[in-house]
Amino acid sequence: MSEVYRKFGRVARSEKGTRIDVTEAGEAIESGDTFIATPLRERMELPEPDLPEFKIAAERLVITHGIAVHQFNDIEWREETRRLHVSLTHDKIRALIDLDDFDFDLVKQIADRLQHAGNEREAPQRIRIASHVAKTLLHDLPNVWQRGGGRDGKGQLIVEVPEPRASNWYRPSYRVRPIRKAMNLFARCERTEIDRDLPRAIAITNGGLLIDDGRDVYPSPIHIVSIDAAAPDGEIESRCR
Amino acid sequence: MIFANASRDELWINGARVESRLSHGVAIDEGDRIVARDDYDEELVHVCNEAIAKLRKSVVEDVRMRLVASARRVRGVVMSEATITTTKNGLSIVGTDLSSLLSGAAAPSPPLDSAILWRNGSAAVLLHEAIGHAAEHNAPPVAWPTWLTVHDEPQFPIDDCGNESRIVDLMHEPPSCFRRESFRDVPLRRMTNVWVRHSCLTGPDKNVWPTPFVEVFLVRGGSYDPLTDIVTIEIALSTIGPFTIRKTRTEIAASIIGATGEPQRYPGVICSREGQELVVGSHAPEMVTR
Repeated sequence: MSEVYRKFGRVARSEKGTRIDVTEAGEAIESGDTFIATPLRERMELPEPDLPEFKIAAERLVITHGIAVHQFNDIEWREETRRLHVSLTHDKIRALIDLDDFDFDLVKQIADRLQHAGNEREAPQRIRIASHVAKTLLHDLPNVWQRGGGRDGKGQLIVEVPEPRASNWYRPSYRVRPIRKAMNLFARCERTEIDRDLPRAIAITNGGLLIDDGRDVYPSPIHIVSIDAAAPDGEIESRCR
Repeated sequence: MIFANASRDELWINGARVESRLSHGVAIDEGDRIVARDDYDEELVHVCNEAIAKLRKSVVEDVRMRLVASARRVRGVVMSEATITTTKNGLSIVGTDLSSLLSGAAAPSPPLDSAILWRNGSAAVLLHEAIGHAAEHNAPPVAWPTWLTVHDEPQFPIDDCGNESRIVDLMHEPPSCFRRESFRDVPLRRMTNVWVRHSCLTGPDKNVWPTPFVEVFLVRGGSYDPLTDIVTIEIALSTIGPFTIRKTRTEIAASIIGATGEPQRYPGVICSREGQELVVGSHAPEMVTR
């Protein structure tokens, strides 16, 4: 039996000072082992995604706003996405920030703290990890769940389940064969109160995390051993080595 | 400026086609804004269809093969490319002849700290990263051997922004060409076709060069980090098996001690930068590093 997926999308992206507006529609047909993707001549009227102005001294800054209508067999759904990717540098430290909203104030705060970063230090035994950093580290840790909401790449509802039990399909483009992958990860712990006095990881770096202890900022190679607390806003408290 | 492109790619596993994609579209450059749509271009799609039909004749059993045929039109000029990437037992080349590489790796194993003999044009990958990508990032100059040259020599008359292409000395300036993987992408200054040459006056003198060599045949991947100036090369196939080199450009320049013979075509560099994958031609003589 064939599975037919169709996508009609518009995306606006700002990259290296250039804005690119892409309008496209395509169809993917999976039948047994075979996957075929082709553009569609059909059009669907979609609003033009807006793209906010944001300037910062960065090695890389990519701002993306997409609007799409998806169809999978008889199911149709609409999706709007915002992505912000920033690579900031200071000395030999690269701090990476990936957000699913346009929180430019957060980027400015991290950029400001990065300018005060010193030499690499050993990992603190316990840290708290900002929610935007935690999202990228949670795969394969215990007590990690998939948050419910929205539909996956085959139109199925994304339900709240422990990460190992997630059976949803990730399809970033109609040209890419979908794969099974847990999405929208979050940590769940009995303890929801974070020790706000702990050093805080504020960004991913080339080789670890950028730690802000309130006084000093430094990169640290960190291996997370366990999650001890998880706040409703996504921030987590972890033991490290 | 209007850039139009089409591409058709197919994935074949063990002689059966399992994936097929068509893509086409047009990008209109309006200063610092690009408006892109997936418009159909009959001529470009036809060029791709003809090219992929020819590539299919090279499909064989027992390997994974990715066939890519692409065509683009800039300033009315149609240019095309066609490649096959063949993968077997975790080794990939651009081309179809894996056998010559695999037979070359059967030499005895020298110690790990031996000098490296970059065979099969593989030195082009090392210098693609250390000189080519560094030039793309306008990295400061490094003292390369005076007998060594590295040029980007485009094989097409016009780049993807409508500029006439030209040969550049990558030791002194970045590539001249702007390229884009598709109509959806922002054009970037990228290498097109790297030629490493040497003017060593004498042939290889094994009494002067350190021996024994670790012989390198195939590279899995490489990168250049403009922040740390570190080049990383992952060797896939050598006389001591897979290994990784991590050195600064200065260290790499100081490690080059000789080269011999005419440049050989290295079987494949699929270069990825900013998420855009492009084929870059690669040619180098045999080269020795300490």
